[in-house]
Amino acid sequence: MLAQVLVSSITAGAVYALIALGFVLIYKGTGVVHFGYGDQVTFGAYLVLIAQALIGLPFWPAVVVALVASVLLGALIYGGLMWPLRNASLLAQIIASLAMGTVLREFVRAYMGPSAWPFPFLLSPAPISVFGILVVPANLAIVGVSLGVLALLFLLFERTFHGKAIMAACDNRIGASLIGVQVSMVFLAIWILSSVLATVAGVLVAPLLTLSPDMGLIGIKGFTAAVLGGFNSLPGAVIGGIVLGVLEALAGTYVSSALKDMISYGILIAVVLVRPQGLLGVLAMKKV
Amino acid sequence: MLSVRDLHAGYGNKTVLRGVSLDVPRGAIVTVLGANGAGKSTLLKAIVGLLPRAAGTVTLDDKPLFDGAPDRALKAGVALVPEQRELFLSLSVADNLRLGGYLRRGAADIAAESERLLDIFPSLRARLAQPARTLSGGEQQMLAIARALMGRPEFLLLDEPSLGLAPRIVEEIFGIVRQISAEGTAVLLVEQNAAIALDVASSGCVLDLGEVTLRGTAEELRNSPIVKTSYL
Ligand SMILES: Nc1ncnc2c1ncn2[C@@H]1O[C@H](COP(=O)(O)OP(=O)(O)O)[C@@H](O)[C@H]1O
Ligand SMILES: [Mg+2]
Repeated sequence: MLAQVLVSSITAGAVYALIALGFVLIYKGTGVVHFGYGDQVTFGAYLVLIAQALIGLPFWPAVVVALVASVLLGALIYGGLMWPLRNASLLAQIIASLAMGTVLREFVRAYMGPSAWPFPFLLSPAPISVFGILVVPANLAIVGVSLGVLALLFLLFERTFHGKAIMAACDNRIGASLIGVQVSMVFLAIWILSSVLATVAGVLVAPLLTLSPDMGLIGIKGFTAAVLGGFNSLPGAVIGGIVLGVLEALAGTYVSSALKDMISYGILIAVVLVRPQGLLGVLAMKKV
Repeated sequence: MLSVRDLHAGYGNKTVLRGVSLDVPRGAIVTVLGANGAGKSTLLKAIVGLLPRAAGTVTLDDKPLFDGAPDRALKAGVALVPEQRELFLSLSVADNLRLGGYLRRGAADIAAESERLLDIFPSLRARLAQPARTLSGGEQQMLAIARALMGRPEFLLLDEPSLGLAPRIVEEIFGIVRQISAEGTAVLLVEQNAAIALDVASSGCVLDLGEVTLRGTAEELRNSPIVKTSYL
């Protein structure tokens, strides 16, 4: 029973981890807590539907179109919103990010309707039994894609000069510009990367939840996962996501599935009260 | 030669530099002395374009060094080690060093260059895997200089490398400054510690309230009554 719960919970955890990574990436790089990010996740999934309905594409090509469109969306967010606001206060930038998410949400509500859409699973949702534990191929696909994306990000940040330059700019903007990094290009890369991450997460999570304009509430789960991980550590975001998924599943099974969401927000409050530096974090050292 | 002519710069509508001119010949060590708040750091930031210039020019061999992002100054061969060092504190010492070669990232000799610098700064070698924030002040200063040298600059601008460091470390760092200059890199050295700066420099000037009030060879400066009373 416990093994079953843990196996199933990894699925949600993997998606939370992706969303948390987006939050942390944007925060580390630009200082903005992107409260519209959950809506961007929803919008990413809708992009697939729009590509299917509008261009008449089959599912997989529509996913590719959605990913390309989210690259453009990321560039648009930076070029049209965050770059013009680069000298504005952080609060103004955070408000702008929230408003942008709301615009996306109300756009899909107006354009695609307020009700839920069916969204295809990547693999069969029929469970098969492996050593007595029921696993769902569709869920395995979610975990697999998430792990693949995490591995790619790891390679980018640890093994390439460009990835290191992004980390450098996140750590110290002045230092980055002194070694010749164009910090505005790094910001552009971060917004594009996080928009693509949002779409990947949206495509993965849409069949699990129902795809409606309000699916963006999932963003708060990703936010909670990021807080659990300390909010400024990429590995922390991944661990936070998995931990949140597991805690939620345990609570849902052993306490009450109706209380599941309340418990995850309770965790958010508890972390902020008891361990604001996150599970494995040191508090961000402020420069003097 | 790196030439600064009639440079004006400041913060917002506060003018700090009021027409500064100076020359740094290739391979030379030139020092800028001045009290706290004289505008020394502002001068170096305005030279590399970290701070916009209000008026005046900076040229490198008569070619203008464009105002704007420091990456253009760096490409032209001018690197700044700022007063605050601006290291990547959460990244490893090795990454900090490697990132210094960001603009030369295609080059085959990046690894060889960082080996060469680790020979010049041996105390960094034992710390390669540590995050930069765990280094002592002296080691951080050395890493900041090494990171700048990874870009193979022809002109290195040093902003108070002695600040807050023990005399023994200051000695070591100035030994390295001499070595760098002997290998052909010119150094523009900003210091409050005039005695040690005039020891390594061949010429220099005194900056006071954003204006050059005195200039000459190191010998002339050392013997000037103004420098003797105010800066030594
Ligand atoms: N970021 C800043 N914003 C506004 N004023 C500044 C800033 N940095 C320095 N100043 C002011 O500019 C003047 C020169 O500073 P600075 O160039 O740092 O002097 P120095 O390096 O010679 O000690 C000082 O009056 C200082 O208060
Ligand atoms: Mg200074």
